[in-house]
Amino acid sequence: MHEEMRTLLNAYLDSELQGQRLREMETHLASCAICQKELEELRLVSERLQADTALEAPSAERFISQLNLSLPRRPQEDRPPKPVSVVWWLVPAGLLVLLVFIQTVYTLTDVVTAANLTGLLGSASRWVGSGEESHWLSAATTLFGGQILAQPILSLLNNVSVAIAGLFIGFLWQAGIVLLYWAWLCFWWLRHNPRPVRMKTS
Amino acid sequence: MVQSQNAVTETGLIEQAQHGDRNAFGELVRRHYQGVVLVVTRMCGDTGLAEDAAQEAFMRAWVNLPSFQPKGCLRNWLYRIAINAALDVLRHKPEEALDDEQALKMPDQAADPETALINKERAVVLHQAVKSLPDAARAVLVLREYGGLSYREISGTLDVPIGTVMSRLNYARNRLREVLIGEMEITESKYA
Repeated sequence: MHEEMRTLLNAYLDSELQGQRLREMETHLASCAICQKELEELRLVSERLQADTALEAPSAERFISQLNLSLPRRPQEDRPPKPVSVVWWLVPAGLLVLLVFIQTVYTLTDVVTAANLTGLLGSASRWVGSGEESHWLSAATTLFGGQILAQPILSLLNNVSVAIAGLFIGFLWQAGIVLLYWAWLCFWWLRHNPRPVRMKTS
Repeated sequence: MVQSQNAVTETGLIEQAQHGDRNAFGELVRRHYQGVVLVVTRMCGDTGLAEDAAQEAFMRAWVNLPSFQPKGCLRNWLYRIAINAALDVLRHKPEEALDDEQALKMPDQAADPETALINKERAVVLHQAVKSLPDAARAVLVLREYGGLSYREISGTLDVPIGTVMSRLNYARNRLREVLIGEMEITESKYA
């Protein structure tokens, strides 16, 4: 107990003890002459340190005037901060709007096409049209006329190929927009994290 | 309330200085000059070296100020830089001895010549004792005695656990206690 309290004498002197620890220390000090003596000596050390004025500091004004003359230029002081252009932020916003627009158009097209094929549109289907015809089906129809067997199967294959072509074109659009967006992000990162300029040593 | 206004003003000064305003930085230096100089002087034990260390500390602060978070305590941040600057100055000038004569030349307020001489001798012993402490223990002692930082603040400033702060302070004060008690006994026998 005595050794433990002894290690806390400095903390007690600096008012860093609280609660139970503080009460334990006060109780211990009341009955321990060794710790009382050591505490007084530590207090004397602290007072002597703080009372020591042998090393005087130079005057503040002289120091500050000297310091102002020797302050180095900061790298960012060499160039004024560029104002952030609105056009700069319109690029990613425009790309995102375009992406949403194309996605919406393709989704609606798919929905309408599917509804038309299943006959859900009823009489309104004439406003939509009869659907696209693949080049290979056009060529086959021209070559064999209306005599082609298995017309329903060919029609189904035609619809599948048209749907795949639509999906592919939609994917190309989206991939293009995403690539442009990434390019903008890379450019933005490089602009805000410039590589340090290497000084020539020779 | 006054303290709060002062804090707001200091935050404003920091922001201005971060954007390159040298006058704002000068005002910050003026506010923290005494504390920083006191810390480096006690770390170096020599006013000449301390002036170099203080200048180096404020120049580092100026260069690194843009990365300082205004939410943090500028004083503690400056003390940390000051401690490092003082240690660097001491490392680059290891041959520099403690300026004992400087302490002895200082005018003493005591009217009695004998008391004045005793005080000056004690000052020299004190400086030597502080200077002989290991860097880590001296840094903790200086931040506590001259910087007025709490254990938690010292812990944050030096980036060490509070337990380490306590053990280093125990070591430093006990070393000084032994030296000062020995010195007092010698002085008493000398002037008895």
